[in-house]
Amino acid sequence: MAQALEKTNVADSHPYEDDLASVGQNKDRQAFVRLFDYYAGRLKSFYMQQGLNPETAEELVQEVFVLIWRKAEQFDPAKANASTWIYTIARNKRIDFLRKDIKRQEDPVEFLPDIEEDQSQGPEEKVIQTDLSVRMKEIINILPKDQRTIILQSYFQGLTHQEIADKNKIPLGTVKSRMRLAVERLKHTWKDNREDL
Amino acid sequence: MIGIPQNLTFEKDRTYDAIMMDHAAGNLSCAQTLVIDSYISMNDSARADSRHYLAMGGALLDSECKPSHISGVCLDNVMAMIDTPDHSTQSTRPKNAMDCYFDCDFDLLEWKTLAPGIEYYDVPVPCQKKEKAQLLKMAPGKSVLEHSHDGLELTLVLDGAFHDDTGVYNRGDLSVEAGHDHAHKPVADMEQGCICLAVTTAPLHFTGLLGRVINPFIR
Repeated sequence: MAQALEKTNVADSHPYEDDLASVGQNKDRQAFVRLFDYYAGRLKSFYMQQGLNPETAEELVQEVFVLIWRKAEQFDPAKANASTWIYTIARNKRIDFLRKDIKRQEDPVEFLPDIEEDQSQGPEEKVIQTDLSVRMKEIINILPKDQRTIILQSYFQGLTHQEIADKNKIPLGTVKSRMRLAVERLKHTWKDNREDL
Repeated sequence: MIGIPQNLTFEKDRTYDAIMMDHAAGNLSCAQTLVIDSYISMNDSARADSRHYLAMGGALLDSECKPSHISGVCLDNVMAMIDTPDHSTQSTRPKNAMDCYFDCDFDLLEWKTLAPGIEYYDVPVPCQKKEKAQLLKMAPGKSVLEHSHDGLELTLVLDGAFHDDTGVYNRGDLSVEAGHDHAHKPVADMEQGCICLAVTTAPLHFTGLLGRVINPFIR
């Protein structure tokens, strides 16, 4: 199944990890443009699904790519999958955006917690992230619709589990149970991944 | 000891999963994010869990995001921005949570007395309505009154240890409490005491005799 996915998914058949590494090591602009061509539209879609208007979404996409350019030297293809690394930057950018929004609305705060893209993997945790990503996509593809909906609403629409319950008119316990079933399937993948170490 | 004690209930486990997923999805409040960020930085098992949930985000970005149309000037803008070193996207973030709390001497903070042997420090992080973020310092052997929760309570042990009926929580362990069904009474370690970071989404509900007297005054 993994092989089938590799044939059908562009991200698996194209070495975006290599492109990201090349941007980091060589400031490779052609590789950077390839990353932009693949990820920019996806990131804009990601932000728009979270309720941002197209203009704001595109502004955040631009800022994400500036961060990708500046931080790419921290990317280690042996430790991280390109999509996970870029997703983490995009998610942090969204949190920063929302915090600035809060800051505008409320009294100034003395302190805001920072979130850095964690690269501090110990030797025992050097998981092969690309394999993990491929396996995870397999699982996501075969999740029952009700479980899949909850995962997508959590990651893409920015809804908490309580908000998912309200939106779908189901009890919070049902949301947690469905999510738990999905996570249990995914944890088997993670466990396999850890056993590969 | 891994992230949460094994004897936690099924409800705690699935609440923990929901929190870690909400964290990776960026859906937690600022205060809750502070707790989980700190937890991840202190606990190897939590760090592994977090990476997996982030990997799920990466996999979804790949396979579930139908690309939106990008305007023609977007790439031009990006290329211009990367050649401008002083662009405003450079991080102006304040101190990291770790710098603020774990590299400082806790004695330097302006603690306030909650009860004999128990002090608190309001963490200056943006909180939502009814949400509270505090550092709690408990002297050796001291305990908080037995209480349950209208909402969610995340408690991360920063120093020392405490125990309740669900287990012993050492430095880097996270206690997850949710709902009225379970009342607990945290007791600080007899030798070390305990300093923890606690974020609650709603006021505690004290359950003992004394607690029932106090409840009306903490709403």
